[in-house]
Amino acid sequence: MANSPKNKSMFFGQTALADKPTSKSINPNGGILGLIFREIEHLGKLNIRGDQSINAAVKVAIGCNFPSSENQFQSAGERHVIWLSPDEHLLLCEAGKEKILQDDLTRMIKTENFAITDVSDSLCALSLSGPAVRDVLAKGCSLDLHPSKFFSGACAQSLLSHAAVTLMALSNDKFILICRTSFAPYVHDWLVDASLEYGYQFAV
Amino acid sequence: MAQNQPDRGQRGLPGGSPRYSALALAKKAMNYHQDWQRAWRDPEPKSEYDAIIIGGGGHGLATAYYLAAVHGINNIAVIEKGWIGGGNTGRNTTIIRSNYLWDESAAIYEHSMKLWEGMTQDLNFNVMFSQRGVLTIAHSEHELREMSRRVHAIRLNGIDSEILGSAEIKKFVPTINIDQSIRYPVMGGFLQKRGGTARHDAVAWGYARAADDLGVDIIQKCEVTGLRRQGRKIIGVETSRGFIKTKKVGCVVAGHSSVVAAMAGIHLPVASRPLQALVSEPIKPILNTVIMSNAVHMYISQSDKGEMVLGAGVDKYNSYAQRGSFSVPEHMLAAAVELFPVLSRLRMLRHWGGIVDTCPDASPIISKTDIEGLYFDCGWGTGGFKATPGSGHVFADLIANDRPNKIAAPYTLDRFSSGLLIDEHGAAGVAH
Amino acid sequence: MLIIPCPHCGPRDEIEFACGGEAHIARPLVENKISDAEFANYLFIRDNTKGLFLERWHHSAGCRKWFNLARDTFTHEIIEVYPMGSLPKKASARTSYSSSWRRGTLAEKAAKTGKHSQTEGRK
Repeated sequence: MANSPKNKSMFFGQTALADKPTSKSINPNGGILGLIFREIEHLGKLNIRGDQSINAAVKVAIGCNFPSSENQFQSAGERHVIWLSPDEHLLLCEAGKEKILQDDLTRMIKTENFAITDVSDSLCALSLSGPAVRDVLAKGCSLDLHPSKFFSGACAQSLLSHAAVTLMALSNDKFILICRTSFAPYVHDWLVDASLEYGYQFAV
Repeated sequence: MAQNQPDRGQRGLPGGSPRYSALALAKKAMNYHQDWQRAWRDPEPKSEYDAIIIGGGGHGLATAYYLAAVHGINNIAVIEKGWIGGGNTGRNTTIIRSNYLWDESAAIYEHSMKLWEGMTQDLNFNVMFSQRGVLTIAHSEHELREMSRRVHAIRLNGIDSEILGSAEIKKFVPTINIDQSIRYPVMGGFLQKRGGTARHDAVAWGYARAADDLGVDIIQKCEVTGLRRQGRKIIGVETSRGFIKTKKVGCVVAGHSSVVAAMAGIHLPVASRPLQALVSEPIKPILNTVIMSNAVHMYISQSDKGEMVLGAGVDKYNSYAQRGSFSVPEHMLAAAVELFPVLSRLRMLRHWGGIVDTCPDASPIISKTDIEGLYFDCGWGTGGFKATPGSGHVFADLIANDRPNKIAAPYTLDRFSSGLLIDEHGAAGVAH
Repeated sequence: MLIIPCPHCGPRDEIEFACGGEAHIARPLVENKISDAEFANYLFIRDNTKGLFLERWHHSAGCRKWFNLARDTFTHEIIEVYPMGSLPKKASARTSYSSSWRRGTLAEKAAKTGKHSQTEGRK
């Protein structure tokens, strides 16, 4: 298993990719590995339903506003607030912090028309980096992932070879990919297969 | 040189000698084969007929043939806006079977199967009916149980069906992959040995020639633009070649059923969807049966030319474009390659689409309407080809006698008000 | 591949969507007081237009919002995208809506007014 030792007592249960061992393959063209990816274990994830009227409370509780337009995310330190739809956002926060933030938000939001759902275990977050990350994702995703279009701060829900994913571009060659936990082994296997021609490493 | 005289109402030549024979072949060769009699005429539409069939596909031509052959009604015309068999009849993957769940379905599809078994003789036209078997694969415990239920229901209706285990399937289909670790493993299947394929074009041509021989006018490149009524009675059809008077109109236009129905203010529960199919480059025989898989949405057989013939489910939006999106065949081929790894290096030779008229219960409509003399045979969705003779036969009976026979009776338009649906989504194979 | 212009996420491949069929079918609110035939109009009978067709789409792999499209079912051209719960603005789409037989059905009238009539309309 791969829980970081100092946090081991905090987190229960298996992580999404617990059954996948560390693996790698060399870049057949020589040179550095094209894709390095790993699971961001136990990343806190809250699904926030509610319209713009709850933005103020979110800002106070989380530390950042909703993104100002669609298909973007706002960051505050390690926290990211991801636009999913006009009245749905996904909050990513430090592992273990999600319950406190959920309580804070629930207490602070004055309207009745909202819902905060802890999806930390139902979703799996992968960190992807390397010079080939966009090329690998483009094999299974029809979005325009060119850095001029899908720049740092961009996000989108789409399909990666039939699996529903949320993609976030942190920089030119660094992404976070979120998928359902039940799909994580499939997404892992697909990423391995798709990145063989660039060289990859999956680190547990 | 012999003049090219059209022979009417006769299967042979005026002197009584057969139309096609070794002697005829030799004689025609003398004039470079220019004098062969047209298999069906290309007449000008008359001003009036006793009945008009709108739609010159397999079902429409079969209806016309049986009206003439069984009911003696031959002062009729088939009106086709394009060329005969150019719609779904020319676009299907030619699968023929009668292994349906409900009694009502067993009745019509088995009625059709029995007509297939005598068709080449009846029409004196080789439709290349090949009873090579149709095998439907079960990929899960649930499907095994469901399949068992279906086989019992099918056999209780006196129709052949048997269950095979994966080892028996491997013996029957050596090129199939029965590795149990694939995403959808072959856990078993049920086989109808009498099922198989036929050459789709030949069916249209066979019925066309036979109907024409009996005096039926087949009028192509003639589009129906209106249904003229007097009160609640049909009095004729408006066409691109003029108005034609008649008291009976049978509409057999598949994907365009709603368009024609609207001409009489009739509303159907039909949605027209794209259905795609494709063939591979031809190869030596590797598959001598028909394989269908509900779970992976694929059906495959090998044509006599050696092409692998493949089809999948419908595209999930309404369309009259006779084409669909690549994502559907792509998804289907991924599954096909997993089941038949030998396919993986084949190239796609040809790909096309049709317009299938799907019904909410995946069963057809064979019905009178509330307009006297107006009848509809439609809603066959993705499963019309196998029903070609049966549909034509019972629709002819309905038109001739103005009442459905026992086989056609459950398929009224009224069932969508009464709730007596015949839900065949499971046995429709793939599709909706 | 159809490219569907989601009003929130922008143009995406059709595989991210589910098509919800004919748009603007009002559910009769007094379904126990209309005839079976009238209820069948709501439940099963469908427009199946060759040409400009008003339909519903769901961005199932994206924002999960529903919206309406005016799309030509022969050419696949998309004429208009408009919000769920509203009517199209383009003239051709508006005409398609207002001239539909469905506007005259008892089921639609019952849905709008909450009242019903015992007389069946005839075309």
